[in-house]
Amino acid sequence: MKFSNKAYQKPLLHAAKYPTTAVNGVFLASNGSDAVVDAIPFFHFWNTLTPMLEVAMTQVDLHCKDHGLRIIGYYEASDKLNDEALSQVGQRVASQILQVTPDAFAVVIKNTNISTENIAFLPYQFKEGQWRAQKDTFSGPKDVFSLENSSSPSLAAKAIREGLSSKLADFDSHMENVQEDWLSNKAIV
Amino acid sequence: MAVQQAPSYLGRLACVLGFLFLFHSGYSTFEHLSYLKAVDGHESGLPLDITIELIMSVALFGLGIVMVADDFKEILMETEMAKQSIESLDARPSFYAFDHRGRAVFRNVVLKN
Amino acid sequence: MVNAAKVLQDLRASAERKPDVVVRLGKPLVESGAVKKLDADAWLVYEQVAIAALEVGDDTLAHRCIEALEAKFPGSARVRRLQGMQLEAVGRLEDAGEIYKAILREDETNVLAAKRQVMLLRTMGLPAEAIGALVKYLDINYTDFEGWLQLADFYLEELMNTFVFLDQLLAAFLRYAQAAFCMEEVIMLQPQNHVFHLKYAEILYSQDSIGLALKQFCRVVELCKDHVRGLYGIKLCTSRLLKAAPSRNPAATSQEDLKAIDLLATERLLAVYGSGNAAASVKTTSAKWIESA
Repeated sequence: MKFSNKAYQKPLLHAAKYPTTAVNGVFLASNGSDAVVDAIPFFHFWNTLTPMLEVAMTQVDLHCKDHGLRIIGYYEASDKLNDEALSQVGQRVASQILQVTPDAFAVVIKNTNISTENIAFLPYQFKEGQWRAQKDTFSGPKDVFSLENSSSPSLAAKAIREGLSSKLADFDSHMENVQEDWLSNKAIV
Repeated sequence: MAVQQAPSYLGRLACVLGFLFLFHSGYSTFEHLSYLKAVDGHESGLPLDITIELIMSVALFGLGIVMVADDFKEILMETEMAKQSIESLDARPSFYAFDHRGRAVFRNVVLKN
Repeated sequence: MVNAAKVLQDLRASAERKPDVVVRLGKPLVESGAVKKLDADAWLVYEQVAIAALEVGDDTLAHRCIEALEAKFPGSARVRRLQGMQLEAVGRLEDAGEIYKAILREDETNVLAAKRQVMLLRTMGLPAEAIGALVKYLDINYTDFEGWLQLADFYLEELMNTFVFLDQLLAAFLRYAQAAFCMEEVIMLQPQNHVFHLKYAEILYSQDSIGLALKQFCRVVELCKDHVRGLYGIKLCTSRLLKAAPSRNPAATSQEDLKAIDLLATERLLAVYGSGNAAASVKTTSAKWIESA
């Protein structure tokens, strides 16, 4: 799973835009490869309630079919600073994705690393009946999880410093104002 | 986010002028009544020019106030409610906790305008 | 040129939680001393900026604001609460607890301190005790809808954790039911607020009470015309109910009514998406979803 710059940045910008609540979203990959090319931000409130999650997943599915993509993973950031466990909601969504995509994964954002040079992703894979944290990853390009661009963390930190996160639109903000483009987020690189 | 409307200088000028004319017509009335008293004339109502000045000053002042005042708020509650976001209506400002990622994310970020 | 004081006032009125915006606008006001020109509002700005500064980790700014407030209102419970929050933010939870206990010893009806105690328990990692404390508070102040909202969120937060003793499904059922009860109390206190009906509707849907959820989503759209989230909810419910076997319950909505509501929701959603300048990809995706759901 190689994360493109966009796929690394968008979850972190999502977490930086709403620093006081839990956020979540999904990762997209192109059909036939495991390169993670994009991330779509979903919610920053009421993340334990299911109706809008169903709507969002269905809409992202339709979006994927139009663009030759597939949903490959899920990300979340806890509202508690040091919490790095994959929540029950996260496990459920990730397991749902797993049923369709056998190479699905989940990522918990490490809140302490967000605007630093360190990798802020903690990947989880479903092994032996449970979602398990993969701690020693992102060590190099041959690793299971890696970054396409090694300067992605510093680019993300720079984007947060410049206030780019305020331009991110997620599904929650789209439903409040339908003009917000949560699927392509063109304002973000 | 609401931006304060540009101050309406014309409106403020109208208010000031209206007030000055009002004051002037009041003073003229006082002068007129004093004059009548001095010549022992009977009060037959105010002279026309003072009345016109009075009405004109009130109109001018009214015009100024309308130009200076902020936009009206909607009278129907539902229109005001519709404008507010879910985060605003679901807010619980007395129940903030500080153990979220805000302190970590913005520690390295200088927040300036 | 944005007037910082006006924006801060709007944020105070709307109660949105945007600490980075508040610090960005409030820091220059406080540091330059321009805040003093606001007269009565200055103290509200100091309080607002202090709390926002604590949220983003700017402890020097927070300290400065709290000092200014302390100088103006020495010994005030409201300022001491802020000092408690300052201690909470840097992790000195026991000391913060002492301050709140002291305030409550002097005045046991002090609502602000009682609420801080509840959140302190949560920060300490004792969610069950926090819920207990909040329930005790609400037993006395049952008209405080903010408290009921927070309790609903506490119950929903519990769903994020793994349950060791209770079966996962049973736990989910229980938590949603408790959260729904809290939302019912909120709605009794504020029946005209469409967002409370919306939250209640989404909780009902999550617990699989689709018929009731549909009624609440309809109420949302009734209170707030063309509410997109409410319309999405209606479409979800009607499509679920139409696919399921027709209910024998006479109180349930009939098939024709369901179809009519579904048609109305579809038409309104398409109208909303058609009228704004939504981006092309969003328009096509949402249109496809609306047609197919």
